[in-house]
Amino acid sequence: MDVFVSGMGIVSPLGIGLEANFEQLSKEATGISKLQLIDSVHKDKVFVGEVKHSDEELMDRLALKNSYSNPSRTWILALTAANEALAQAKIQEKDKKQYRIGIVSSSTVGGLRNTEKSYDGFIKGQNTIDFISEHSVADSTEKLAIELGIKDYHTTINTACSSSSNAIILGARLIKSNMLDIVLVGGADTLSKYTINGFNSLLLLDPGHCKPFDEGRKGINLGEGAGYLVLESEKSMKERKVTPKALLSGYGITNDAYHLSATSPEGNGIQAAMKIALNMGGLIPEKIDYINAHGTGTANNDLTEGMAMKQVFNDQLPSFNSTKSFTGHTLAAAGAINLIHGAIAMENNMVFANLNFKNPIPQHNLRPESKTVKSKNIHHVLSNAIGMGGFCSSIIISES
Amino acid sequence: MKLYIKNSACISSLGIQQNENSFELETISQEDPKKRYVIEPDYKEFLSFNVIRRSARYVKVGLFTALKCMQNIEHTLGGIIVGTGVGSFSYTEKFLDEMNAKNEEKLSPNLFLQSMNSLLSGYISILTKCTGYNLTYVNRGISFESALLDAQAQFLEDRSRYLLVGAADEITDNYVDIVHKTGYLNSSEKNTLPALGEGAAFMLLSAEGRKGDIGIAAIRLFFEATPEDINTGIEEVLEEANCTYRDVDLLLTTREIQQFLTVGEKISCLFYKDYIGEYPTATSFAVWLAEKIVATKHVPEIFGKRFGTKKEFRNILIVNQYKKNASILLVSK
Repeated sequence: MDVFVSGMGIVSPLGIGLEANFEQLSKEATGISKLQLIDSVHKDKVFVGEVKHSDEELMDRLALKNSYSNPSRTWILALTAANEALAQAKIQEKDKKQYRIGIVSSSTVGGLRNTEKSYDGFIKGQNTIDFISEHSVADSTEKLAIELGIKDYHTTINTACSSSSNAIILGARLIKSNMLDIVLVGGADTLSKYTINGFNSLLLLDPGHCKPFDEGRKGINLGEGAGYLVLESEKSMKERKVTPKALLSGYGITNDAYHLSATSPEGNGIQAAMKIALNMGGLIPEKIDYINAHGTGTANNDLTEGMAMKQVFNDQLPSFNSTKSFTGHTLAAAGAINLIHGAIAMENNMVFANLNFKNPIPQHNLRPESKTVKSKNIHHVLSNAIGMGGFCSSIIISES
Repeated sequence: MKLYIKNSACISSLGIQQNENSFELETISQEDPKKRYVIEPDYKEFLSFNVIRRSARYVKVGLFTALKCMQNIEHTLGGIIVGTGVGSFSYTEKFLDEMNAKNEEKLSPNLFLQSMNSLLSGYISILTKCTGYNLTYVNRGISFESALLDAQAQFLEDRSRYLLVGAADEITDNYVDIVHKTGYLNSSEKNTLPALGEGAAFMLLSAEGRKGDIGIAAIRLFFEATPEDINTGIEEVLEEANCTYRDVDLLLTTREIQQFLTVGEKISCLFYKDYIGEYPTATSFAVWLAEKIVATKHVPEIFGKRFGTKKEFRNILIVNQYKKNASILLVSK
């Protein structure tokens, strides 16, 4: 059974919505700048991909049906993107009654941004702020279900930086196994003092702008955002008279089973994930026109993911880039944002620039597109995600 | 699609004595009866010194249970699916404390890594050398059930797989304190604070079974369910399994849920959470317990003599509610 993408929605450091993201990507305008909205010693110093709106500004745009006590920024971003995806897929109230609709969401940060503000004072008896309800990564999924009135099934995945890719894949599998007809899938994460300090302690933050696939890369820029897609079967799409945006033609999930915080030298896990995805789509590697790589900008990822791509594509790589040079690494949201950027590229027949690339990594000598490529025919896009803990996922979308 | 339980392992706040034919549990006294901490095993049996020293309890009990479940198993593992409601709260606290104490400078990367919800399932893949499917669900009271549902979908795709599916959760003194002070888990009716618990249970699942093999025969999940929804759900589950409430030998649930179930007075009820405390993945303990009861035809004596030993236990129903989530599971022979 085929699974289609009937709607997409995005919030990223490039802006709110598909249009804003396309505009910035095609202008080669990065969303990365110095940290503004978090009270931290790293404020005005560390380079991040921040969504440049306060919680209040974002909330004002939402016109909520219900009221919520301490909404997390994760949820605010998630709902903003989910609304766009559902609108594009033309999901009506009557569809929510007629079809089995679910939500598979993902996050790694959840409500930590609230927790880190209140925890210390709470423990010391200085405040009584209830942060524990929002702390769980499940909370934003649950609130999506409530606000959107989608209550047949929802669940939340956390596989670190591949979370939303896995949410997309699970959604597709739930449709294929006839458990659901339509499913909202994706992920959201916000910047937090916690994750900035966490990645800093791992020595994984680039002090300047991140440089994916460049020989002189120094690490990631953390980012925030949300990406959601509406997946559905051909049957419900025909009945609802909507046109698909793309076909989800293949996917693969593996685990590298090598090391908790590093991938194997040949990128065995992501190699296998790409091969499984190609196989499922009945595609030979030559059919892939463009790869939106995970490309975080760390020494380990860009070396090993490159080795894996080289192996899978027999040294004949199609155009590839990492749009993390525009958004930073949005953690759980990264896989969905990647795939949506890939879909925007396919729709506009463009490959966006891999910003800040100068020299290839000597071990694999791969060159991403360092300038925007216009009028390139793109029929199939492959998108990777790799998470700490060895979680590897690869997804292929095709013109429908 | 029945999920056959080929092997299982569990760590809880109860002592477990188990051999081929007998199976007993014992209550271990806790410093504070509101906090039911697990009885930690001798981790050295399966874990290296480094893992024992550097990992959160959530990770250690999860890893230990997963590896114990895979001990002497020769089947190739096709995938690992883990559910956790809270994940590693202890290391989240440690990293937060360090961040505040050291003013965001020179922090320990291990504390950050160990605080990741997904660390456990990634770790299991390394220690079992399983490069297949691997996922962590973090969805409050249906985290373990989400993993089971995923396993069902996996078997629809490929019946020949063996999947290691399980759950782990931990509490800390501060976590219990926060939950109690905020009333996070207060029962709406009585405004009572439950004792909180923790634990881990893993099972090796397969879609292939013979007549008489024990497995999870039905899974139903609910969000914001009314008592009616749950009662209808039970009817559907029993119908699907071709049986009536008379065929159900035991109902594993809570006193609160029993009160609104139409079968609540008709089936003999065991309130297991009175013994292990409340936690988001407590149903993983219930499934483990149910499988053991069916296999040994015996209910451990700590639950009361009234259950006794029956000639046979065929069907055990598990009905759970955790905040807005509810689930029904049927373990049967």
